[in-house]
Amino acid sequence: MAHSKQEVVDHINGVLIDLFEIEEEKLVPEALLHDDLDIDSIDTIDLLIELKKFVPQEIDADKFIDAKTLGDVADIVHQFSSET
Amino acid sequence: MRFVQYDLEIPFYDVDAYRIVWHGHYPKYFEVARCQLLEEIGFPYEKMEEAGYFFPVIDLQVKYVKPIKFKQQVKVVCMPKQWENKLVIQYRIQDALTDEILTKAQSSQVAVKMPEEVTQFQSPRQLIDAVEAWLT
Repeated sequence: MAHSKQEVVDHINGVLIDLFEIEEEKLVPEALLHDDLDIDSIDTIDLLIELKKFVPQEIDADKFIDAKTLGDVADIVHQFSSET
Repeated sequence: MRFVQYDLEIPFYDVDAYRIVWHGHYPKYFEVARCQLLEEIGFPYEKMEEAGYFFPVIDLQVKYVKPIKFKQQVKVVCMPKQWENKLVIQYRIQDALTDEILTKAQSSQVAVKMPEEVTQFQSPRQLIDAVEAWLT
């Protein structure tokens, strides 16, 4: 089932709070994964594994390599989510 | 679930002043078991390197359930738990005679493309295929 952009954003935010205990007010689209949210490459893999459970089709992990902001991640996930 | 078992008698040089295995020695036991597992899977470190990847350990969690003593016969059991985006291996150290669980642990490794040193968000296809073939 395809998810709306807002559903994707809400889900990603929920995962970030659960996995990394990030304060909700920091979760804005322009937040930089590394500099603002302290998410490193290893955290990104854990995030990806969690997001794969949400999207009903295989996510191309390489798409995440260039993701710099939370908004970038939401765009990628939404793209895979709406391709079903 | 298929697993690999490494049998070990605790040597004198691994025990501390309490006559139990010093906590810092456990990763070596896991390392031996892990190498044996990767060998059996058919994708040991040498093949990873030939394919262009290093596979460093990026996380290790150990729960020291019970102490392990000098000369105790133990078995280190390990199995792959996750392999698509990172290789997660689960370990149990058990008494060889009673099967009592003494230690629970889990390691995570990620593929790093060499020589560029770029962390991969997806495990190499060769590893995924090798693990899945070994498990079936």
